[in-house]
Order: sequence, then structure tokens, then C-alpha cells
Amino acid sequence: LNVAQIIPFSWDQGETISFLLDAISVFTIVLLSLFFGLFAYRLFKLRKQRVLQDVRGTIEERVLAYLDGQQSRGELIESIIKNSFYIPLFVDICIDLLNSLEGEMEDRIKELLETTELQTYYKEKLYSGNNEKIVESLFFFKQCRQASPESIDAIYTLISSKNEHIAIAAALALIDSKHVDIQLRAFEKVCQRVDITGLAILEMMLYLSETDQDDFDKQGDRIVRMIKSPLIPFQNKTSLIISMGSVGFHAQAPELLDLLKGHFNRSEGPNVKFVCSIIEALGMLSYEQILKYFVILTENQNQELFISFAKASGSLATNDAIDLLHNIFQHSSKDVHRQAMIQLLKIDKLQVRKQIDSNEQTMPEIQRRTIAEIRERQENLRV
Amino acid sequence: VFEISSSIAWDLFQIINLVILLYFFAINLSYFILVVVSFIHIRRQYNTLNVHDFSGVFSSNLFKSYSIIVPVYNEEDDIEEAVHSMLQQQYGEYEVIIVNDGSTDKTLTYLKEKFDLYSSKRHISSDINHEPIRDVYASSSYANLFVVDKENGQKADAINAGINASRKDLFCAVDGDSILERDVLLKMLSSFARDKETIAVGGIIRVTNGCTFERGELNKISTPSGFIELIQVVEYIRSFIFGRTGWEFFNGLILISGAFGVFDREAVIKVGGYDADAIGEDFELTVKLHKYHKDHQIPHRITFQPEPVCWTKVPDNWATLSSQRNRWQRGLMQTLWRHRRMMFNPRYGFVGLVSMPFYFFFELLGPVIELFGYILISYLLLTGNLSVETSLLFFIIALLFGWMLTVTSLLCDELTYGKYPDATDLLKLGIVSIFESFGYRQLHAWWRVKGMVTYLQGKMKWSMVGKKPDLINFTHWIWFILINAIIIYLFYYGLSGGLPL
Repeated sequence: LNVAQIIPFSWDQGETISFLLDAISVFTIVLLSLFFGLFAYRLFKLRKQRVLQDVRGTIEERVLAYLDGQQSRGELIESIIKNSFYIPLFVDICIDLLNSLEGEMEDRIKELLETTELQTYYKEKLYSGNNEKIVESLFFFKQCRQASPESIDAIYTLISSKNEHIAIAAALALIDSKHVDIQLRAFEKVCQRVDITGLAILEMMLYLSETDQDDFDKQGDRIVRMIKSPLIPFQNKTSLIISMGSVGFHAQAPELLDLLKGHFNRSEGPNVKFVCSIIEALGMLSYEQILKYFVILTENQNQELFISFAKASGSLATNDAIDLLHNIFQHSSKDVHRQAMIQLLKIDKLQVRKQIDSNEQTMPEIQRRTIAEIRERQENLRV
Repeated sequence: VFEISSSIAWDLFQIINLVILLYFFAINLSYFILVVVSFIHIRRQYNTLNVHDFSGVFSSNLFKSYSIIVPVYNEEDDIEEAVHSMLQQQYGEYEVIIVNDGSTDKTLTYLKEKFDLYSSKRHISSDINHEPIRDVYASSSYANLFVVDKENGQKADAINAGINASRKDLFCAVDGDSILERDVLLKMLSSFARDKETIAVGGIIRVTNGCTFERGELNKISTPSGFIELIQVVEYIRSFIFGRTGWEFFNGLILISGAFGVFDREAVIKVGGYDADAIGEDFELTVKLHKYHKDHQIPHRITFQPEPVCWTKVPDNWATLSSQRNRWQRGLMQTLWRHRRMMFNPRYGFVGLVSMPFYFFFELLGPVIELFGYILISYLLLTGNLSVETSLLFFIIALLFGWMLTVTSLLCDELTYGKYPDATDLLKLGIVSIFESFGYRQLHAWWRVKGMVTYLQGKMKWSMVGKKPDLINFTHWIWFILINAIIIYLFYYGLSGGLPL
């Protein structure tokens, strides 16, 4: 495209003009292409949506025919696997049905997801080297909760991936598995990573907890061993402890307290974050014995420890815990006061009110305001 | 002597011309790079977005809790819709704190009536200073709704009161005329889940004008019909969505919009909250957070989530728009001046070495250089020192470059989000982007230069729209038409062989 030839008037033949005209030509071409691309993509998207809708409808019909016994599993899988475009749609439909069906129908859908063809298709994606495909495959294994032994090994290797997203997706794929050993092996491996967040650890522990009591106890013991292990980074240990409290590993509470006692014998001295996490976790696990350690542990008036004891007391909500919360107000820090106040507000108990009535005049202002708010809450609750 | 001096002047003009030309290419090229980088970044994020969808934790109350803080001033028309949208969030533990910043209309009365408010004894901490609080209300209908009624003290002051009233780990500051999509909080939280060093997250803001809502929920997305609003839709797509995502990619984001952002409450309290004296309180806070954490060597991340959407109302008349842009420019100038020691300072990393200088040279000085360029070219044209053909061609290139940038943004938006379902909306945006360079761009530069002058004169406060907005609107339309007439005049005579000067 040469603008100089198109525009019907004469220009100076200088280099500047020529350069500018060339620039205009280039910009015009690029701009027109972008503009065309914008609308072409919209049309393409609309068409794709329509095709997807049609295909999805067809696959749904076939799956329903399979459930009604009108079509065999082999026939259905064969019709799906021949076109890679159909597979994600098919898996999506199966997952939807899996969440809504029960009994025999649910088992029949599970059988579909466990077919060798489908498992092989997604296993190959694990080795593709393409992050997008790997994540897609990991989601498949997570949702179907049934990976073949070869796939499990491949997924396990991916937990050590340099890519944090892939590592988490891989761990989640195995943690959702039906076998507790596979779950715990994956969980331990991912907890060895320094880049994993406390939130990811908590999420995985929530998955782990969806099991029967025997497996749950087994998990608790293994997690305590992990906390003692030198392979787990320190920050992950505190996340594990807090998560144990959040999820409710009550049987392991005495072991956590032992860990706390043992921690003070460390040659490098105690780590405040570690101590705080155990105090808070024991509070969440309703392990009242932790309150006995308040005086010893807060001797040096450490603000973080006071805050942790406030949180633990709020979770315990026993008479002793409420007494302790009132004591905590004696600390000079505003942050400690705020936490004690938040915890007191959480406890909607008559006990709180009675204690307040007897001591109100001698209390600091922040405590009195907290009390006023508790009263108001209780009034409204009565209403 | 005259010949020598005129020769020096001519050389000087040549140098200035070259500088302006280089500046023009540099600014457009950097915006273009930002758009492309953002596009790649968004596409990449899309692939891993679900990995961090920790639905188990998010549906429990085991992770961070939120306060949505909504500062309102005379928002009687939009407040009910906005509060309903805030109350419909898909999230476990959150509260909504509306801060009535001394409204003079019926905002508070409406809130009391619609949400059954009663006077509450809720404790307000004194972590950050703000204007006195008149009363605090709780709702009988919604356990997580609170209203703080305080003396007027501007938006920053109102958010500070909201931060003091909040008891949650995070707070989300939202404008009173904004509507949040239902899964916004969940999506914003994934940023905090991804990286434990995250202290603030910005989200996408889109234009509500033209869309329809029902009880806080978006019914239909479509573009507005007015020219002024349409232009802003294009602007928001270009700069808010793709500009900011690009900065986030480089970890150099220094602006989280005041209309929608999530912050770690403790981190904000540590820096003293929002600065009530700041004109651009959002910009000031983001820079302050960077500075504090770098000064104290605390690892931190300020990030941008390209998916969550907050819908906000944009000005539909020249008067409000010019006032808003004037204020943005004053805020920019004030913050850059206050934190001038961060500029080119390696201690502040990418923010000090790239983001701050970029904002100074391109965002702050951009309109000055643009206006200077118009004046210089006009002078050179009138004195016959510049050929009409050359200047016209330059103008066409500038136009095409700007248009290309906008269409690229629209295309990237379509490739990633594609929020506007109707193809005619896309066509409208494509067409209006052409006219952005005719009249609007020049007026925009003028408002911003005026903002800088106002700031230098010491007028620091929020400027309200004048007493005669109709007159201001009328004047701006006249200017808009006049600028277009000049451009058409230049084109007409340029194409027919020269100006009749």
C-alpha cells in the first residue's frame, strides 16, 4: 500500500515526506488488520459457542443413553476419544453428573472416567511439557479422584515442579485421592516446598479431613511427625500446626503440647511464631491445659504471645478463658487490647456479662466500651 | 547578528521538534508494550487461575475476613443498589461498613429506612485520625451491615473512619456508586492466597453507564449511548485493564484505584491510613505502602487481579469529567512531589527506577508537552517555518498510532474477557476510538495542564463542580467543536495544497 500513489495531490519529494508516508502505510495496514481481527474474532467466538452448545447436547444425549443402558461404555468412549475437541466437554458433563447422581448411576459415571482410553489421554498430557495441558490434566485427575498407578507416579513427580502452580495442582490432584497413603505422601512432599502458602496447606488439610475416623487419626499422627521432621521448612510447620487446630485434630492436642515443651529446649532458643501457632491451635482444639502456661510463657510481656493467648481464650470460651481475657487487658499494647476485645465479643455468654457487672467501675476505658457493645449485642439477640 | 540569532532559533526549533517527536514515539511505544505485556500476562494467569481456587478454605471462616468500606457523600440515588450488591457477596466472613461523610442530602435517611438501622455502641478504634463520628448504626435486617455517620472530611477521611470501625483482616474500599460482581471478594482473595507477601490488590473497574441492574445484580451489559461516556469506556479498557496489569507484571504497580481495591488492614494502619490532605488519596496510599515496606525492608507485593470486576459510574457531562481529570492530575503531581526522593532511587527497585519516572515523564508531563507541541506547530505553521504537508502527515501518524493502541486494547479485551455481548457495542467502541483524537484528546490535555497550574497555585482541595455546570458543559462543547473545525480546516487546506495564510 503506497499512500503517495493513492492520494491525488502532489507532495514534496523530500525524505521526510516519503518516510512519513511509509509510516502511514504501515500503520494503516496494522490498524485495519486489528480492526478486522476484532470483529473476526467476535464472529469466530460466536460460532464456536454455537458449535460447543451443539456438541455438548449431542454428548449429553449419548451419556444419558449409556446410563439408560441403550449404549455400551465401549461405544460411548470410542465415539468420544476419536475427537480431542469432545473430550473436555465429555469430562465436564461426567463431573456435573457425578456431583448430582447417587448409587448405581454414580458408579456408572465413575466407570466412564476410569476407562483406560481417557486415563491414557490425560496421562500423555502430563508429559506434554505444556503447562496449560498439564494443569488441565491435573484437574481431570483431581475431579475423577481415580488415577492409574503410572499417572500417580507422574503426578507425584510434578509436585517437585519449578512451577508453583503446577506443584499445587499436582498435590491437590493426589490429595483428593481415595487412598490415605497416596494423600499423605503427596501432602508431605508438597509441604517440603518453601514457596507454598499457609492457605494452600490449610486447603489440602481440609481435603484430607474428609475421611473416616481411623484414617483421620492416621493423618494426625503423620502430620505431627512432619512437624518434627527437619525436611519441612519452619514456616510450613507453623502453618501445619494452625491448620491442625482449624481442621480439628483433637487427638493430637497432647502431642502438640509436648512439642511446645520440647521446643524450649532448642539450642537456638524458642521461636515465637512457632510457640504462638501451638497456643492458638490448642485453643482451637479446646485443650484447656494451655491456659496453665500463660504465666510462664508471658513472663517477658511479649505482645505476640499475649495476642495468641487472647485468640486461644476466645476459642476456648470457658470461664477460665474469660478470666484470662480480662487479665490480658492489663497489657500496655493497643494491639493486645484490640484482640482481647475481638475475642470477648465473640463469646456471647452470660458469664461475660456477670463478670463485667461486678468489675466495671475499675476497668480501663477500652474494656468498658467493649462491654457496652457486648450488652447491646445481647439485647439485640434477645429481641 | 539577526541572521545568527535566527539561525540559533531555527536550530533550537529543530531540536525541540526532534525531542517532541521522540517523546511522542516513546510514550506511545511504552503504552503499546504495556498493553501487549498485559495481554500475555492475563492469558497466562487464566491458565492457572483455578489452581488457587481454594474453595474449601474460602467457604469456611478459616482464612482472612473482609470489611467492605464504602465512603458515601450525597449518594441518595445510587446507595440502595450499591449496598444490595455489597451484601450479596459469595464469601464466608465479611461485613459492610458504609461511611456517611456528612452528606447533605437524604443518603442517611434512605439507609436508615431501607436497611432498618438502629443506633449501635460498636467500638471504633483510634488507630487513624479522622473527623468526629456522630453515630454508628447497625442493621436489624442484615447482621453484617454497619453505617458510620461522621462529619464531612473528604473521601480519604471517610475511609480512615471505616478502617477504624473495621474488625477484619482485609478491607475493600469501594465507591458509593459502584456495583461489585458477586464473586469479587473470592477472586481478590486468591491473590492473597498465591503470595503471602501480598498487602494490596487492585481489581478491574468497568463503566456502569448503559448497563442495567436489579437489586445490586447486573442484568444486562451494554455500552452507554452518550459520547462522553463511550469515550471513557474505551479509556478504562485501555488504561485501567491493560495498563495496570502490565505494571503488575513488572511488580511496579503504584496505583490501586480508590474506586476498588483490597488492602491488608494492618499494613495500611502501619502507614497511617489514607492521607486526608492528599488529592489523589489512592495513588498516595499505594506509593506510601511501597515506600514503607522498602524502607523497613519488609517483603511485599502490590498486585492487580485482572478478573474481578467492579462496575462504576463515570461522568456523563464535560463539567464533572473535566473536574475529575483536573483532580487526578493534581493528585498525581502532589504524590510525585511528596515522594520525589523515591524517583531514580535504586533502593525502591522497579518502582523507583521505572514506575515513578514513567509517571513523571509520561503521565505528568505528557499533557504539558502535548499542548506545547500544538502551540509550537501552530506557530511554525503560521510563520511558514513548517510545511503544512509535513505537519499534516505527522498528525495523521499520531492519530493512527493512538487509534492503533486503542483498537489493540479492545482486541485484547475481546480475546480475554469479551464482556460486551452485543457486536454493535464493539462497533460503537471501535468508532468512538477514532474520535478520541479529535477534540477530546486536546481538551483532556488542557484540563490536566489546568490541574497542574491549580496545584502550583496552591489550591489543593477537592474541587467540586462549579455553580454553573450547564455553562461549563456548553463551553466545553463549543471548544470541542472548535478544535474539530480547526482539524478539518487543516485537513481541507492541507490536502488542497497549502494553508491560505
